[in-house]
Amino acid sequence: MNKAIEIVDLSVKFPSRGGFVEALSHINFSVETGQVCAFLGPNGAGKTTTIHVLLGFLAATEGMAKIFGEDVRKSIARQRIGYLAEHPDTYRFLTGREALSITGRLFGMTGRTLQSNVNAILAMLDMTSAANRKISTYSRGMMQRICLGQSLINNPDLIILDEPTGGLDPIGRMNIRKIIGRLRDEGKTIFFSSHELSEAETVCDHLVIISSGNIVVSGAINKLIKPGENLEKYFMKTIQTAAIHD
Amino acid sequence: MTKGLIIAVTVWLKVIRKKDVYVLLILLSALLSWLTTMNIFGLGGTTRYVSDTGLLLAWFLAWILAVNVSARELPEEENRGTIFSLLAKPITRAELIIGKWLGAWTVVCTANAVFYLAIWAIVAVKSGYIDPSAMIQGFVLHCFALAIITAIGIAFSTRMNFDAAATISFVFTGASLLLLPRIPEFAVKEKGLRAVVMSLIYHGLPHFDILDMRQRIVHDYGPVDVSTMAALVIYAMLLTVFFLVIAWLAYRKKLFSRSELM
Amino acid sequence: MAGIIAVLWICVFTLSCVIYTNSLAEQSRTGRSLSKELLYAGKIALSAHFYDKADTYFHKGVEHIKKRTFENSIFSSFHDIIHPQKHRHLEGKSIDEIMPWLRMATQADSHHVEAYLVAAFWLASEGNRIDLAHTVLTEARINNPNNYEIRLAQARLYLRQGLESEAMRETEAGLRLWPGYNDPNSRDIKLDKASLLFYQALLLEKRGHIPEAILAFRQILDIFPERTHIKNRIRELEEYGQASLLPSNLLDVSLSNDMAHGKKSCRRDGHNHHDHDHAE
Repeated sequence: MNKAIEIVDLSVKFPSRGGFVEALSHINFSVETGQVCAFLGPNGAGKTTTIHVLLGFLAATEGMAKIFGEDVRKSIARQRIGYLAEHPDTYRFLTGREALSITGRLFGMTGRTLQSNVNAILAMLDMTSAANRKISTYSRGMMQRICLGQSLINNPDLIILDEPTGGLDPIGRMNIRKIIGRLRDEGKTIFFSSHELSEAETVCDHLVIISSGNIVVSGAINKLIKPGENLEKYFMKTIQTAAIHD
Repeated sequence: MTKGLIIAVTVWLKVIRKKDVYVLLILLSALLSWLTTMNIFGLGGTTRYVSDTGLLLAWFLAWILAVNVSARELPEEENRGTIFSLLAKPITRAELIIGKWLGAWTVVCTANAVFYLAIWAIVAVKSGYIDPSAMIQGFVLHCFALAIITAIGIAFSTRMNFDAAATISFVFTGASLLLLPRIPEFAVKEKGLRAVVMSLIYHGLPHFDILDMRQRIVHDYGPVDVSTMAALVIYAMLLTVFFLVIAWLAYRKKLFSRSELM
Repeated sequence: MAGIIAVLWICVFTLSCVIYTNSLAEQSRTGRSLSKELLYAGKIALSAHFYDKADTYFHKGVEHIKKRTFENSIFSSFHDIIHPQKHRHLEGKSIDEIMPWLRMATQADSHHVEAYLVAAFWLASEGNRIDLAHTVLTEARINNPNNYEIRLAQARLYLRQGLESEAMRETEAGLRLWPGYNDPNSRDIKLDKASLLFYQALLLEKRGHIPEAILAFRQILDIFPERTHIKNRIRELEEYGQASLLPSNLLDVSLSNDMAHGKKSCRRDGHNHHDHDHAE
């Protein structure tokens, strides 16, 4: 299998008063194409920092990160990615359809291809009836779905989701989970961070756990979690062990 | 470049839908209409003051609009967190800067064109005359001045929030617009270090005064020759590129903190 | 960044403290509130700006020439191309173009008497609209009832129209109000009084009131003892009961001289009418 994400010896340090804070410390992991990988860890563990390096927002202090073999510092590396940010927002003065259309154009789509992609995404998100309304009139859940739609408009091979259900009500969460499930069934590679362990357990087949800037576990869920154990128990145990070692 | 144009389109849509520009146009029209209805000691047929005041207002309002639109774009992307989904697309930061500048500049120029048309229409209604070639030259040079102003707004906004970027841009461009043309008078009596500082300011700040043809338009001095026009356009373009390069240098490795997402 | 904001804040705070304390002192003196004081100062500044604008218009947009440095700079060369510096004047109907600025100056500050006077002067001279000039001066008089200069200007207008009783009434009022708030020892102010006395003396002379006319001429000599033509006229009036040059002719000469020298709008330092164009 090809590697969708490859992180090798990656370190990120932030300048701080009197020195540096190490947000990521020589981490290594990879995600194969077609995998659905949960990226878990407590608050401040380095999940979003890692995602930001993958997207080129942050430069690595050491090591390297690649997406489909391309260095993440090149904008071409982002051609095959869809990204949904934590607490996503978009241009509220646009309609849902316009937001998707403009995002599509950024990926070089035009004409009928663009039109049909936008319509397909709107149908998948169940947003067709609200497509011509301004986003400023949308609920939080609808906004989240449109933002997810923007990250899917280019039919990406890798989808990176940062807390995709954060701040949503149960129905909103269920809708997003359904969409993720559908994307998994389509064979997309999905890499997502979440605090919702039950959500991760439902949709993921792989797991990466990060704590204090170090990768503590990486592998297939069915190999890591023993029969009779659930993800929540496993996660707590792993984090506590990592804390003792620290 | 296509991606820059798409970014520019979003700037356009935002300005058009947020309606700031309409307020300024209504303000200009209202002020000009009030001026035309003014009783000038019982005299009629005077129009030069209308074009003069109109052009002054056009400069003032376009300046306000240029700084507001350009200084707002990048900080707003960061505050709302939209910068993350934008930069996750295959778009470089240079394309983002150029797109934002292009959008801000073209939208301000379009508003400026409407201002000039309104002035021309009101003067024409009062049976006045404005030399069209001088007016067109004045408009073109004004647009190039706005190119510099929007580039300055973008440059400051790469490292500041909107309020700070707009304030500094207003101070910087305001000093260039109002104070710079007076420096040769102030510097006459200065010697030593003060004279050097004044010389540096005079030669270092953008010279909007040489892009301001209001006097020629209002007092019928006619257009300037083509070589002068070309030299002025090149000067304005070089300054614009300079400030955009500064903006790119400041933005290309900027780290976005997570707190901006919250 | 925070440093710049702090410095700006300190500057603004200091400035507002200075303005506030000054205004409190002024308020206790004038009895006006801070807001009224600021509004009043703003109106005066605006009026002065509009008046300067009228002056600039009179010179076809060319501003007051001041000493400048960096003359050899490329920016200076371009500045001079874009902003013509040659000293020129508006003439004829184009003079009307300065009127809006004078109107705005008087609207901003109704006590800006000079703006009223200049407007009336141009309306009566180049505009040939004495009726409008009277309207302007009447408005000026309503807003500034104790100003003698308005009466002098109005007296001139009546004299041009041949309305002698009205002119006499204005000169009398003007003399009663002179010098107002002005310095009575200033040469310009003394010249104004001399003009009022001169018009009055000639009007009295025309009516045959010779002793009263001589009295008025003597008052001019009290101000400007060196004026020989006044001395000669007094001598002629005392010896022959009439002067060789008729008062009506002298009035015409005097009024046309006043018109020629009264281009108040052209008030540049070192102004020389022979070194520039009078356009249009």
